[in-house]
Amino acid sequence: MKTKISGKTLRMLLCYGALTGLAVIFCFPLYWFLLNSLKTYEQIFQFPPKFFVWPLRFANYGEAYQYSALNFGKMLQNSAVITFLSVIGAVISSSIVAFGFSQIRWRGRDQVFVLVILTMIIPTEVVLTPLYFIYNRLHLLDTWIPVIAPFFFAKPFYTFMIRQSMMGIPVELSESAMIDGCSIWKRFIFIVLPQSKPALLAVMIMAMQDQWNNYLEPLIYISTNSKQTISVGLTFFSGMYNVQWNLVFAAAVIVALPILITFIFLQKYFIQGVVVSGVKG
Amino acid sequence: MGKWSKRERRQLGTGIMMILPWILGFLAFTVIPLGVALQMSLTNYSFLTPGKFIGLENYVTMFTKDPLIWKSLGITLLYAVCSVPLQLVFGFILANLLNQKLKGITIFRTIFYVPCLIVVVSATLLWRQMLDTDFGIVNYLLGLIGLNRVSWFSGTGTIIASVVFINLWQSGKMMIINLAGLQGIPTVLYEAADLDGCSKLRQVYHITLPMMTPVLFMNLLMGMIGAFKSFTLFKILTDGGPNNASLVYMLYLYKNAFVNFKLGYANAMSVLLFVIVGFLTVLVFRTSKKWVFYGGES
Repeated sequence: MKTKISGKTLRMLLCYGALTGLAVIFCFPLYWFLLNSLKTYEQIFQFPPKFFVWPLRFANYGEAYQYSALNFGKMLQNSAVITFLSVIGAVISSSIVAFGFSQIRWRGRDQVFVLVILTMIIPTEVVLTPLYFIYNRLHLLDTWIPVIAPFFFAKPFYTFMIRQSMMGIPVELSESAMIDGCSIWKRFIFIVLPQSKPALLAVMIMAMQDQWNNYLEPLIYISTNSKQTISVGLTFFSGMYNVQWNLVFAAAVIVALPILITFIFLQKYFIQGVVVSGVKG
Repeated sequence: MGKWSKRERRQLGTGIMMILPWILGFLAFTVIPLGVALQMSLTNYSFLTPGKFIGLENYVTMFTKDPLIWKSLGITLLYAVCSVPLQLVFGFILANLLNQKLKGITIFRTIFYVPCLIVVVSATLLWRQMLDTDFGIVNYLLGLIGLNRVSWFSGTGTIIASVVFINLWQSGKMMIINLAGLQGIPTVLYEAADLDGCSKLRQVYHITLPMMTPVLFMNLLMGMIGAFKSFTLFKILTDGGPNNASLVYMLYLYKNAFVNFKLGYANAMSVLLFVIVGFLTVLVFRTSKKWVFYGGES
């Protein structure tokens, strides 16, 4: 009996050891990220590197924000508006489509839904060049429309997420409301939507992350600096001649913040979204 | 197919109306662009000259006259072969560690998840500085343990190693998926194994691994496709250089389309990418019958 307990303790210690070691490796870059944003220009290029500096240079943040060559504030604002619109579009369009795939019984519904799932595999990268050509023809290049539009047409993955949750709502419940003379839209808004709130929040978070992170599409479709998003803008900043690396880091931290802050408040829904995405196989 | 009742027809109408946004999106962002890509891949369209129909010339060039295509495919394949298995193994081990019933385990879970919340561009800039040859912290730490400096961005091998590492650092989502998979395994299985005196390590091999194959399968598929469409990290870290040593497929496609303005040729490359992704998907699905275990009702 005694050996069994010590075996268990040993296993526990091993687990802690491995986890702590890995955690240090995982945390250190985060610390370095923050620290670099608070260093002076000279300190960043110091070798051997300083693991702690004092005083911390908080002025980096203000200076990065006001850096005239970058137009940082404007780009941050652009990203915010683009992301906001995309989230709205994603939630509205995919919840309506999910409703059609779950709460209404029609012939061939589940077969069509298989097609939706299949299209999740096709990467948007494949259609980038033809879409560029199409947008060029429609004179929509260098506007936000190519970046935002896909979010307004029920991206398959978001639809899948919401549909899974709506499948859990008994159809009889919402159909009985119809008999009471409730229109289909009322049934959708007042009965079905409130019950799939967790999935809607998860999709909001995913859409926000996807669009805030989006790099390739703005890079290709938007050419005017004052219309550009901050993700792409950051790389301009870091590619400039005589780069102020301390300011680049401050800017990079500012860009990373919105998602981190959202995570603190809505942790549960972040995790939920990811979990459901894993069981789609 | 029997006769359609009035009610059925009305239901169908409502259903179609509801899924209309998806239908339109599917047409506008998948079907039509794919058609346009196919059509344009048969022209020499560029922004400088109006396109002319040239038949299969782009494809002939691609397969016989353009060594960079093969080089970029090779680099991408090498990247996939290095990153995907590592991701699977690391993800599996980490999730198993995080699934232990230990005090403070949620803190560890959060720690491993947070890096994936850092915006990709920010994370890449951070690592670009950390991996710098002369003043980077990574080389400094390597020096402390008596190793030589590595110029991380000088050759295909070291660049791929860097990107693989950054991806592991940001693989929090995969960790959560694995963790959810582990928690879905009925505990009865382990209890029975305990009674039979089966060691913990053997339980991992005989229970956990087979029960996790559906999740690993998804990770494999998504990882393979993800590797073939990888762009951002390579673009920001090295922009394909030095001397095309890190020119992954998507980067080469991007350069053809938006730097060299060979849109016809880039479209042919898009078509090839589509074929590759389709091929990989079929391949993974085909082999999955041999190793993916779908037990019971899940």
